[in-house]
Amino acid sequence: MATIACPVFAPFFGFGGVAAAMIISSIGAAYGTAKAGIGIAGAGTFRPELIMKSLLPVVMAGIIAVYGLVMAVLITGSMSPNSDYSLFTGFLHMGSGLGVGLSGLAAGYTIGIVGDACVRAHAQQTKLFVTMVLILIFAEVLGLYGLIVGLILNTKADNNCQLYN
Amino acid sequence: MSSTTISEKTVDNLVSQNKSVETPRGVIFKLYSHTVMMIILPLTTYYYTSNYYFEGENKTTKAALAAAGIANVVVFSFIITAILEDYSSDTQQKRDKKE
Repeated sequence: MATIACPVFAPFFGFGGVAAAMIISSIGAAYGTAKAGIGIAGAGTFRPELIMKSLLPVVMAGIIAVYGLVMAVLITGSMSPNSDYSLFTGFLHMGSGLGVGLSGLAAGYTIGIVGDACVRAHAQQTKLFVTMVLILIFAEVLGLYGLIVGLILNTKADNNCQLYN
Repeated sequence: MSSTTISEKTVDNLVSQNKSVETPRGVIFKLYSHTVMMIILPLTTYYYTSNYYFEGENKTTKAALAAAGIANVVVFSFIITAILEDYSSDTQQKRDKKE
């Protein structure tokens, strides 16, 4: 039943948040995988025994997409056509989806550039592996911050439709 | 005579190169298994902990944090696998040089 606090178009923002979480974090993970893959292909031609260690940026870029997936599943689980859905909750879900998505984009961008440079340098100096792991962990934690903020936002959902009567 | 010594050297070179070429099969298997784990484990953890393990009002939040933690555990297992493979290939090369 449509009131001022629960208009008919409120799920638009909720589903927009679901889409933003999955799509934008996938863009970040794709950029990270592609840029790091260029470096791995370049370094693997003259040091093929280092390929397994060089694949670490690709795995970490996949984690960014997993964060977006978890947030999308979480938001979708709290939406149903039979229950009330307020505009407050719609904006909240859009905010958490955009938060996870855009911080995942930032983290994926970082993982791509750092992965490309560090993998090429690791092929010439093996001691750079620990440095690469540390920088990649700091880059991935950016996406984790977005996930945490999205999760904290998500707990404040309030579907009370009688708010302004 | 010189052709036979050259062919022995090239055979030795090919054998030593073959050992580093054979590793990609194990590499691909390890990477593939870690990718599959990274897809399946977080979703399974989320649904399992959300429905059966955590109780209360914020159980979906805790379940999402558990899924993110499991994804990071997969990354750490990949790092450890890569470092162990590097150590095992180093010791094998030292054994070959001693022989």
